[in-house]
Amino acid sequence: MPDVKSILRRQTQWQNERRELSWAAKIRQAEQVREGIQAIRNSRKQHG
Amino acid sequence: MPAYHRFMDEVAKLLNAMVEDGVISAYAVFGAVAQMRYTEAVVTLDADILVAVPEIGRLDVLTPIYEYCASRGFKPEGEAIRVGAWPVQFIPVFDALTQAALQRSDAGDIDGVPLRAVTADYLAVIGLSVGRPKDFARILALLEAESTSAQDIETLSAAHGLTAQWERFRRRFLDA
Repeated sequence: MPDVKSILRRQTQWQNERRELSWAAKIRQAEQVREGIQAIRNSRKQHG
Repeated sequence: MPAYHRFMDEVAKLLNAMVEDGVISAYAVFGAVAQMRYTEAVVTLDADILVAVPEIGRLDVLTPIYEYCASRGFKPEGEAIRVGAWPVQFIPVFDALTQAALQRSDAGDIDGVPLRAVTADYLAVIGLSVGRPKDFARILALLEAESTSAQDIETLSAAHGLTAQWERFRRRFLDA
């Protein structure tokens, strides 16, 4: 059984690290995710 | 300039130019793009920009903005204007809260290009005033990031007649 507390602790640490990124870097992350979403939507439109 | 900065900085340059050319008096990014200044990145499809316009009382307040953007090749796209990779929604200040949020906005930057942003406390209270589930999620994210405090939100809410909304939020999400 995985150590859930340890996993959650590492997840919190990772989230805190991501929060420390610059505003520009975080915006770019959002842009990349949005590009991915739009690509999926376009793919769905093409395939019906 | 690094390629990964070529999107939002285009929006920033446009906004600064609009102020310089008198199309708007002031602006501040709010919504999800502003939230990212204080929390981790969030998924968002557009950029919301709070603006003050020079001609108060004009019914078609957005027309000069649309015309200015069109003259620079940025065309309307639904309720937004497409600026490079970003659909941008311009929201004229509409009450004392958004007016104050704009006046007290922070001077940030995107890799050296100035970009003003609504502060975390005003983001939270604006979210409280709108009251959608994603607004509540934003408030919780801002609190978790310690970019504002429950006390600050409570104080600002009281100043803008939103005490009841804050109390409901606090009871629902914060009280143990």
